[in-house]
Amino acid sequence: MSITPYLTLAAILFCIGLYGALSKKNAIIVLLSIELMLNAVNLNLIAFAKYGPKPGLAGQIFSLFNITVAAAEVAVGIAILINLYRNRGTTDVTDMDTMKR
Amino acid sequence: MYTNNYVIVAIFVGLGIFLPVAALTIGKWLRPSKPIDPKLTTYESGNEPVGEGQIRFNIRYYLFALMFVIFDVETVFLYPWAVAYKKLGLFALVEMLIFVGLLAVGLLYAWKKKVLQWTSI
Amino acid sequence: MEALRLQLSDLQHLIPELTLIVTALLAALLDLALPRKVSRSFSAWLTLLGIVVAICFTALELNPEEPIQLLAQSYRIDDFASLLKLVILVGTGLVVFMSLGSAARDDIHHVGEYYYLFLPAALGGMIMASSGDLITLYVGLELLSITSYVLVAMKKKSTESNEGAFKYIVLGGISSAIILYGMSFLYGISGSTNLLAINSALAGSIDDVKGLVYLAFFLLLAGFGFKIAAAPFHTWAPDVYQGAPTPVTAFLAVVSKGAGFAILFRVMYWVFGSLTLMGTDLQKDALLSLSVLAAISMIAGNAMALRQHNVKRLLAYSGIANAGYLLVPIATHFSLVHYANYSEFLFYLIAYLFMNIGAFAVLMIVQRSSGNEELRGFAGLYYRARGRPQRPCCSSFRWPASRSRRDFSESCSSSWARCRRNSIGSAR
Repeated sequence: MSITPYLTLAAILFCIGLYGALSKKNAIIVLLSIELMLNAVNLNLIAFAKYGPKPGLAGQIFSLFNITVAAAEVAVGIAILINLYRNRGTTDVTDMDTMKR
Repeated sequence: MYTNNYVIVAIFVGLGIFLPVAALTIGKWLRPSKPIDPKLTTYESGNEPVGEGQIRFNIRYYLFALMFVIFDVETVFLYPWAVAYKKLGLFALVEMLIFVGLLAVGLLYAWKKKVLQWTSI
Repeated sequence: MEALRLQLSDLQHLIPELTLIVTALLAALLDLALPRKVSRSFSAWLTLLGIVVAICFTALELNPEEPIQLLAQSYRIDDFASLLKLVILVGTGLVVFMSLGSAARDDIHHVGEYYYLFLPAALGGMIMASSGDLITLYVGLELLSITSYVLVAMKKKSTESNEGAFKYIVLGGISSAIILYGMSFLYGISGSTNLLAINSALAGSIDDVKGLVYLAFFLLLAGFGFKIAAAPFHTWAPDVYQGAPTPVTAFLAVVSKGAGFAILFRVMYWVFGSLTLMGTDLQKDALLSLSVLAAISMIAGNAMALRQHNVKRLLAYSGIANAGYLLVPIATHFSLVHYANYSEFLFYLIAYLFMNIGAFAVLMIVQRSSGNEELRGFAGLYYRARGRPQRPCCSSFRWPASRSRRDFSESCSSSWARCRRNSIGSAR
């Protein structure tokens, strides 16, 4: 089994996530896109751990840590977003411009 | 040899397209057609449908999702530990108890901040 | 496999970290248990106590006979780590001290949480300083980052605070993902998450996988660039600094940045810059790209600071320029005689710590008396408060320059030049 398809899929996922995080207007979608990027990394790690030149368990353990950290991160992100929505009444990231540039 | 396998796949694809199309078309010829307005409403287990199909979910579910994260994370780390438990021994058990204890503090925090009540926010 | 297990006797080396955890738990439980009427200032004092105890334990660990390593090199207690831990802890302690009493004024509602959240943040920084493995490194980084996101959003009713926190979490999340993507390639090449093992794998097979190594390096550089707010990746810094409560801004400027530099230093020296790769193209390119990053940060940070009216934004740009200066000791070429520029780096970081916290403390005082954080709040200070505020102002701005002139001018003339330039830049 070759590793290339997995790495390609991970790269595509990562790029979609990066594009979404940088271009989408809805803040929830932005957070979702970040999750997509992190999942691309998990895919990469697991592919390397199974089919890489030097297979081993460390990659799978690393991806477990990634999953938990990503969950914590997005939980905090949504909490902040809810607070922002209460104060401003919008989840549109283009409206987040109260501070001077 | 592999070509044969692909022929089988092609036959399956052809059948997979043909059968539903045939079933639906024959059904259309055979059944009576009397379109009336109530038939176009959304089916909600026999009840009268209420409101729109696309609704906002209550934000309170978010807190439950957060609670779920606590236990979810707990399991993610408990699994590898449980698999290797016999090799790891007593000290790893104590470590795991500390880990679960830390998460329990998180749960206690949520409980004290009245997250577990539906009317908290 | 025996070495991979944490033993009870290993815990004695982790006492500073454990102190912080225990203090944070204690503060959290007390905060939950005590009725609402009780003043929450105990939380601040408990936090300070925990930090002071941790400082003492860390100081005891200084200068070990040989570096202590736990869990097969994934956690290292050497002088590099211990000194950076001291910087992180002193910085956190000063920030907590600074926010004593200002929390209520800053309309922070959850005062208890506000104080004890500094502890896990400092703990994250300490783990980063000590880690010798990609996993510990990443977990420490995220512990610091996620706690910082919450701390920035602590002013619940303020739109600016929320907005700054959201920008921080989005850009912080993206940068974490980029760092991780780079790390995953390093893992794929070497089959290990240990920094030294990665280095030896790179030295062995650099020519076969050159493309992947460069990709990993640039992804890591971009991600760490975000975390230390170096110039092409600095856009979050001014907004986040402006939105956050002032002590938290000081924390971000000093502790977060210092910890970010700690892992940058560790990764650059252990993976890309160590003796095994001496003289290879990879090392030259790595150092060159770090130098370019440093130059862009210095120029962009100082130039854009000229346009600012808000003092916190001004200090954010000063921080960006300082990130450039701090990159110089990492990026400069090493020879066999003078292998690591660690002492220069640490010297500048300590100077930066005291200067920056002093500057933010002055800003808080002026903000309180003038009611805003614009530059015009400083106007007429002489008449409003005769003699009083100028003194801390002067001392904090002048400190690094005068000190370097006295003690270090001979040994590290380059740091001296950077400090002088910096103090002039900040006092502008």
